[in-house]
Amino acid sequence: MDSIQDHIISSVHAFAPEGVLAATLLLIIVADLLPATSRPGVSLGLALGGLAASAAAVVRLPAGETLIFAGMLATDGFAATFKLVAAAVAAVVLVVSYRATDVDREHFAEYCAMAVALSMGAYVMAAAANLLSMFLAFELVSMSSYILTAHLKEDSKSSEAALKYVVFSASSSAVMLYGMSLVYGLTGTLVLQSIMPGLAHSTAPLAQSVGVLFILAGLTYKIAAVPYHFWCPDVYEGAPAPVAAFLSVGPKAAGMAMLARFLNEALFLPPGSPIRAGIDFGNWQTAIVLVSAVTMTLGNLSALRQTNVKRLLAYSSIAHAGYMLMALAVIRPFGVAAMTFYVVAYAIMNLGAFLVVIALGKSMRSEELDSYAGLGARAPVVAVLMAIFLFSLAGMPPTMGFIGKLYLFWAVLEGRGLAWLAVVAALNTVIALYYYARILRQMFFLPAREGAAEIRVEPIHYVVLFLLAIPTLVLGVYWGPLWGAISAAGTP
Amino acid sequence: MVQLPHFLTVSALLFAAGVFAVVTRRNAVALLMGVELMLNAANLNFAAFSRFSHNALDGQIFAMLSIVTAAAEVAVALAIVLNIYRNIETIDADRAGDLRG
Repeated sequence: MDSIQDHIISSVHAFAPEGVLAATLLLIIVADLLPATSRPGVSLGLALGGLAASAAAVVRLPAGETLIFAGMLATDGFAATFKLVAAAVAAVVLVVSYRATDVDREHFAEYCAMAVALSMGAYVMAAAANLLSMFLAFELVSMSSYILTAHLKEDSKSSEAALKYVVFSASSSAVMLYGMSLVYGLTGTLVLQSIMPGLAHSTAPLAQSVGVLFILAGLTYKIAAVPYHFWCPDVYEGAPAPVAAFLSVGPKAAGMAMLARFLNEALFLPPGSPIRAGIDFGNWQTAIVLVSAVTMTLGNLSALRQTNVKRLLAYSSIAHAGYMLMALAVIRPFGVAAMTFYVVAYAIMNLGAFLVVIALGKSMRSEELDSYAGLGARAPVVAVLMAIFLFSLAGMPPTMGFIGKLYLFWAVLEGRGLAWLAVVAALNTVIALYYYARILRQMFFLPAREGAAEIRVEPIHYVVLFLLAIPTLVLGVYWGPLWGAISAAGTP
Repeated sequence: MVQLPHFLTVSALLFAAGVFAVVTRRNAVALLMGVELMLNAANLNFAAFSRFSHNALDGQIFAMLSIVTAAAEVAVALAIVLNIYRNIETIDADRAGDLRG
C-alpha cells in the first residue's frame, strides 16, 4: 500500500494549479463574510490574484506527459495550454464584470467565487484522462455556469435562462453518464487509454455504438454543437452580458479540449496499431465531420435572421464550434494544433465582440441591432474596435481569425477525402461575412436614431478592449511564436 | 437468481422513463425528477457491472460520486426553480416563455 500513498503524495504537486483555485474560492467566500473585507474590490483582487497564481503554477510545472492520481489526470502541454486560456478568460471576464451594469454588485463575491470554480472545472476538463474525472469536471463547470446565469435574482429573464440551461444541461450529462456506464460495462475500465483495447474484446456492437454515441452527445452539448445547440441563444440572451461572454468562451474551450482528448485517446487508433476493434473507427470520424458541417451551416444560417446582437453572437459562436470540430476530425497532431490555435484566436476575438456589447450596454440599455445605428459617429473608437473583432470573427486578413481559419483549412485539406468539408466551410465563411457586415452597416452607414443616448464607456472597458484588439491584429501578422508554442505543446 | 441482465433491463426502463418525463412534462420539478431517473439508471448500471462482470470497485465508486454530484445539481436546480416562482409565480416551463426557443 505504500506505493499507492507515495504515488498520491507525489501527484499532489502537479495538482497545484487546481489547488490554488480551490483555496482562492474559499478565501473569497470567507473574505466576504468579514465586514472589513466584504467589498467587491476585495473579491475581485482575490480572484485575480488566485487566477494569476494558478497560471504561474501551470507554467512552472515540469514539461512532459505525466499521469497523476492513478491515471485520473494528464498534465501535458496540451492541458497546460487550455488551462492558461481558461485562467486568462476568467480574468478578463471578471475585470469587465466589475464595472458592468448587469452584474449585481451586492453579490459580487459569489460571482467571483463561481467564476473561479468554473475555471477550476475547466482546468480539470482539459486534463481529464479517466471517465470519472471527465464527468466530475463536466459537472463542476455546468453547476457554476447555472449559478452565474441565474446571477440576477430579480430579473425573470436571467432565471428563465438558468432554468432552460439546467434542464438541458442536466439531461445531457445524464445521457453522457449512461453512455459512460455502458462503456464501463463493456470494457471494465474507466481509463481512456484502455477503452479501445477493451472495446476490441467486446461482442456487443449495438451497446458499443450507443455507449460511445451517448458520451459524444454529452461532449457536443458542452461546445453547443448541433443537435445540442438549442439552449445556447436563449441562455446567452437571458444571462447577464459578461456571463454570456464567459459561457461562450470558457466552457467551450474546455469542452473542445475534453473532446479532443476523448477522441484521441479513447477512439482513434494510431495507424498500424495491432488492436482490431469491434467497431469501425472511420465511423466516428464521419460522425464528427457531419456534426461539424451541419453545425457551422445551421449556426450561420440562423445568425442571418437575428436582430439581437447577443443572439447573433450566440449563433456565430455555434458556427465557430463547427469550424473547430472540422480540425478535430483530422485528429493528427496538425489538426489538434490547428484547433488549439483557433480556440485561442476565438477566445480573444469573441470576448472582444462581447465586451463591446457590455461596454455599450451601460449607456444604450439595449442589445438590439438597430440601436447600434450611427455608432461610427457617436463612439468612433468603440465602433472601430468592434469592426476589428468582427473582421477577425469573419476571418478577414490581417487579423488573428484569418490565420486561425487558414490553419483549420490546411488541416482539413491534409485529411484524406475531406476536401468537400473545406468547401462547405468556405461557403460558410461567406455567409458569416454577410451578417457580420450587417452590424458594420448599422454602425457606419446608417444615421443614428432620434434621441439616441450619448455613449459613455468606462475607462477600464477601454483598457480591456485595447488589450484584446492589439493581439487580434498583431497575431494576424506575427503569429509564428504562438503557433510554435502550440504545436510544441503537442496532442493530448 | 437475479443476474446482470435483470439489472440492465431495469436500468434501461428507468432511463426510458426519465427521457419520457423530460420530453413530455411541463412542470419544472417533474422535469428534474425525469433527469434524476436518467442519472440513477446510469448509477444502477455502474453498480451492476461492477458487481457482476468486472468484480472491481471502480464502478461502485463512480456511482457514489455521481449520486453526490446529482444531489448538488438538484440543489442548484431547485434554487433556480424557486427563484423563477418568485419572479413569475409559475413553474410551468411552457409559460416561462420570454425567451424564444
